Amino acid sequence: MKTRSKIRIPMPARYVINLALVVGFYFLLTGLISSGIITNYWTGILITVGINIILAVSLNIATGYLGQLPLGHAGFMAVGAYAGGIFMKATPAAALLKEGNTAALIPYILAAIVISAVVAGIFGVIIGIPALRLRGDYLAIITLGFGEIIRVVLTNIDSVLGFDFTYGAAGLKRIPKFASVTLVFICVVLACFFIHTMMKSKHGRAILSIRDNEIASESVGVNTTYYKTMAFVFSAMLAGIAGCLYAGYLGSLYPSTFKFMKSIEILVIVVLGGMGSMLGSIVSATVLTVLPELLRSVADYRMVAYSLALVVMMIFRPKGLFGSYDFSMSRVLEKALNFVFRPELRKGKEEADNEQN
Amino acid sequence: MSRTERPKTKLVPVPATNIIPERDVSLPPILEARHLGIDFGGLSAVSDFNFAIGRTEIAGLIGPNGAGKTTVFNLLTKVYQPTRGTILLDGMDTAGKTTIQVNQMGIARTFQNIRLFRDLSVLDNVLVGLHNETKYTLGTAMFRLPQYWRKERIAKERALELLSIFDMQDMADHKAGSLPYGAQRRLEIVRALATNPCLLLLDEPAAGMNPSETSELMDNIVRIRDMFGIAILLIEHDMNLVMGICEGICVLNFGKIIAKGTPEDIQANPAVIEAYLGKKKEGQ
Repeated sequence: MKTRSKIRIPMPARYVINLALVVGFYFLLTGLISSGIITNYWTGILITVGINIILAVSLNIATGYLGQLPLGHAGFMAVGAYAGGIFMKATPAAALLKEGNTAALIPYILAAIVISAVVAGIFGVIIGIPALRLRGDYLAIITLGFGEIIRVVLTNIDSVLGFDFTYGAAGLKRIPKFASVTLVFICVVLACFFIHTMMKSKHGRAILSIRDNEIASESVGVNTTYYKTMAFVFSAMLAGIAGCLYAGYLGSLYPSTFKFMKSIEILVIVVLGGMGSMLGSIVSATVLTVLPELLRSVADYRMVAYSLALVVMMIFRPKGLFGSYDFSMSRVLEKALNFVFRPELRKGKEEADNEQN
Repeated sequence: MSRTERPKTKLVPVPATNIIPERDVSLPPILEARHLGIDFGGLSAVSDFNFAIGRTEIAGLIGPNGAGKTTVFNLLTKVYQPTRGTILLDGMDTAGKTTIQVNQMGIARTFQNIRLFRDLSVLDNVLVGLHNETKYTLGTAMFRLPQYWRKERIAKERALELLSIFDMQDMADHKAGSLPYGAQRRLEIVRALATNPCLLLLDEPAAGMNPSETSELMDNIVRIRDMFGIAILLIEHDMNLVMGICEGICVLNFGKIIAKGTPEDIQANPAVIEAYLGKKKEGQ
């Protein structure tokens, strides 16, 4: 019998398929919103979901891929939020937004995102270089401390500077609300794309090798300090972008939002989804944002259910919902195609399985 | 001579008429340790370690447990910075260099307790070894520029080629942690070779292997030396292996060299016999 080789989807086609899916999903989403099936209330929740996804996938770089446990993610988010918020307040973006002149708004939005990413990245370098000398619990404590420092500085810096900068505990208000579903959607897609492309390269492999065995990766010449800092800074930058979107969505910022519990919330999302799985982070960010909204009617028991879910999770699936499994549309398609068009390979697979057993 | 000047070891199929590269005595040794020593607190773990390895020599480092063999490896690879002495790699002083820099200069090693990247695939383990050989920037990777595809393809081909030394190319997609013990040891050697070394340090490569696996390993070590033209220094307790393939042997006891020489010299050396078996009592 002539054996045909397995069907493989060529590389460019994979990207086309994924792009088509993303675009399709976008139009589905905007269609549902404009037709009114997704109400205004739920549109707001969708934006929060998007922001949480960015936060989760960015923290996942540091926890899942690099294998460290930083607890100061809310700090980077705060830095990005305030950087973006203060910048947008200084620009004529508010007036443009009122006019509905979106085209003129785009450069300001781009600039705000870049600024928040850069500022959060700088803080990432400042915190990462000393913090990454430590590991495990010590790294957790030092990043927790840094996160709190950022919050306290944001609260009190005005009295030091002598003029209004962050408006302290009263909050930074009247930030132009520039975060639309489209903007957040694009940011989520780009964040996921760039994380994916980084992780599937020599740089990503270096980061994963540090997680698995730092001594061994040094022994093969991987500059571990460099890659640890790089992953940490990249994670901080994305958190900064999420913060910027958060500022643009809510329109007002309070330092108390970025308490230690916010960092824990993000960590819970990552742990629940499965450390090292981007799909896990995305699904779990969605579920953990939407679920509390659905459970609003039983708000009193919400936290009980939440904690219970975590406990059950840790007992039955300690590696998270998805472990380190990552989803690939092309792989699923390939399997389906092979299943339909190459039935002879199915049998071969069974035999191979039996041999292994 | 810097690493870039060193001719690249090209992996080609071994010809049937393969000749063992002759030892070039005119060239300086690839590695030379002079009066090497390290103290841990008051304990002198290794002291006055003088040793040289020729360019394509297979050398053995043996000694009873706790003699300081692995410590020597850690000194050579700068996991520990030596308290005293000099290490010359290819005539260059490695003082003040880090583990990473020493690897880039051409020392690769394996570990006594296997240190693989367990959650990565076999192929990815080798690709991490090729990290410094695969040259493209983060931006190139993130935007998936043509250079990324080209360099990744080359790296993957090279990795599969290296895996084929041990017939492991079929296992490329397996998780490294799920491999059987012997295969894990072999993968560690492949990963070390991927960094394009001029000196390979093997820490107990035959530990936990049965006699047939060990004899296969012996053939492979010699084959690797011939294919790549590199020097190999190995720590091993299996005397069949050491006496079978090592051209020079160095015996260590309590951190000091007690004997150096060819396998025949070592087997006849009373100091070595004493270190391993103890002293004969008077009058026996």
